[in-house]
Amino acid sequence: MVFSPLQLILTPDAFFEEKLKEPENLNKPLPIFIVLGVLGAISAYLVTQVTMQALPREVQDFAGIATGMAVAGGILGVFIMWLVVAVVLYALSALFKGSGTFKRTLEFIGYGFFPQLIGSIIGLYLMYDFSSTVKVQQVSSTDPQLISDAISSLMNHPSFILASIVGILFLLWSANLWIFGLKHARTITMRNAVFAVLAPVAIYIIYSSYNLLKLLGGGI
Amino acid sequence: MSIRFIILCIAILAVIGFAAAADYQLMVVETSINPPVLMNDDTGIIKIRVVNNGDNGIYVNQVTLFGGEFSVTSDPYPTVGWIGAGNYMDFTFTVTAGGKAGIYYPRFVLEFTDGTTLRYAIPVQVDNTDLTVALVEQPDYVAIGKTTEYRLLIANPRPNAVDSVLVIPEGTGLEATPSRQFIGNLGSNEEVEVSFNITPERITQVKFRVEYKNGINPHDSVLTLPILPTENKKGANPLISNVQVSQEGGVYRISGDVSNAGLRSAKSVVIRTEAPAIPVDPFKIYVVGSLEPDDFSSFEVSFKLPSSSRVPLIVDYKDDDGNHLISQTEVDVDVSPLSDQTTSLPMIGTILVWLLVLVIAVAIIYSWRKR
Repeated sequence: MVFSPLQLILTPDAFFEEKLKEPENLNKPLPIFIVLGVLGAISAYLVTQVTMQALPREVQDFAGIATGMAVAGGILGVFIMWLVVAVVLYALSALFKGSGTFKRTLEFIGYGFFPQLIGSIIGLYLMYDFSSTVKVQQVSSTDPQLISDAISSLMNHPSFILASIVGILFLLWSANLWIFGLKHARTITMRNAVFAVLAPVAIYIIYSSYNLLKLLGGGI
Repeated sequence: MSIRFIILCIAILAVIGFAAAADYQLMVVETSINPPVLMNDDTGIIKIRVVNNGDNGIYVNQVTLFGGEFSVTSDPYPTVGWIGAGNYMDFTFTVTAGGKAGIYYPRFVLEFTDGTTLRYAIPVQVDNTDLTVALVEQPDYVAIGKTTEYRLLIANPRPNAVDSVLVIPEGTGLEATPSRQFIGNLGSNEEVEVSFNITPERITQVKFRVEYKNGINPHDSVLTLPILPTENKKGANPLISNVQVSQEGGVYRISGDVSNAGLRSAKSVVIRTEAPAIPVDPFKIYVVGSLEPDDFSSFEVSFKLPSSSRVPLIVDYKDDDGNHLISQTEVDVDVSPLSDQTTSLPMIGTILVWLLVLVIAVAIIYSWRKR
């Protein structure tokens, strides 16, 4: 069966039901993560460039290393995230006596990351806007508190806040796909799949919203 | 009985004879007054010496001084008695001067037993001229907290010397060194120079009071001078230029140059900010140190600021004498660059979010209906 993004988005239940008939194959969702990795690396590069401008000159000597680490983190981060989400959901579904393999869970969760592609493209545009419009004021002291304050002030940029909101929205969309994917991968009821997926996602969203509200309101 | 009568007659004849002789033999030979020249309301002592130049004693009944415009505060001599031949007798009276300046003539009167008198007018001068206090030299530059020297000339234009001359600087909000200077006796038409170091603590005035005594009578003269801060034409003049304001994570920094445009060096130069700015590390203050004329130094101060306002930039420094001086400049600090970045989402962003919410909600709902 050829991968149909439209079917995945609109009828995920049927999509995963069909995929269940095929052998477990991690190569099929892999392109999603390759593209996500590239987009993430570019975003990380843009953010790092801006952040380094704000840091003291002494720290800027390590700009190359920091950028390299950020780009590597952007690429590897999506793969690590894939693995972490799969492990968490696999473990939670085990509480509901799920029976599918981990590889199948990893594969289906991988498909669930597809909406993140759209989110990352929008996020990349927002990061570009952020990097080209943010007002950077360099910190001349190596005082950690001062550096932290300087970076926090960068995060107040509207594009950065917008990217956070967009990230949460697309996470909800992915969560919807993970529910269907987990249901089929682990052969659990729809109700149990909803609980297994929404529990960690809700915790993550609450944590992200808390940070977002702090940025918007200067503290809650 | 006849003997007694004879003795009485002899005695009467003798007295009559002396009295008659007094008209020719008794004379005032010396008068003196202390102080030699009185001032209005001054108390003085007049001393008169009377000598009997005759061969016989003279009996003086009463001696009185009639003051005229003067009031004589001492009593007359009611019964003087005999003044032997060749002897003299002193009479002393205390008077208080009245009236305007001029020469007055109190009258000295001796009364004899036969009703005749000896009258003598004593010239007494009254002069109300005070000692004069003149400012010889005052500092070019007066500043709060700066010690400067004032030189005064004390002159005595009176016709007589005065005693116990004392110069006392007075005033509130100032410190004077020495607190007083004693001159002592100051002769007629003489002058003496004194100097005081004055340190004002605020805008005030200093009174130089010259106290002196004319005889036993205390008097004073006062010279009042205002102490107002003036521009130091030759002193240091620290000026702030090349001012730049920056912001780092909520901490504002003012950097720039401080130049000494004066003719003297500025010592212990320290730059700081004052309210509404709240100085914070790393540069709560910036110590420049010594700044020579035409020299300059960079500086930087860091502070927090609750809202846009003018921040007073203070330059503390000392002159060559160690006096603490202040120069102030105000710098406009605009906090709006931060607030630009913390504004709410732009309209297009809000639309995008709601559009995405709609699309994702439709996709999710659709997916659940089609399961």
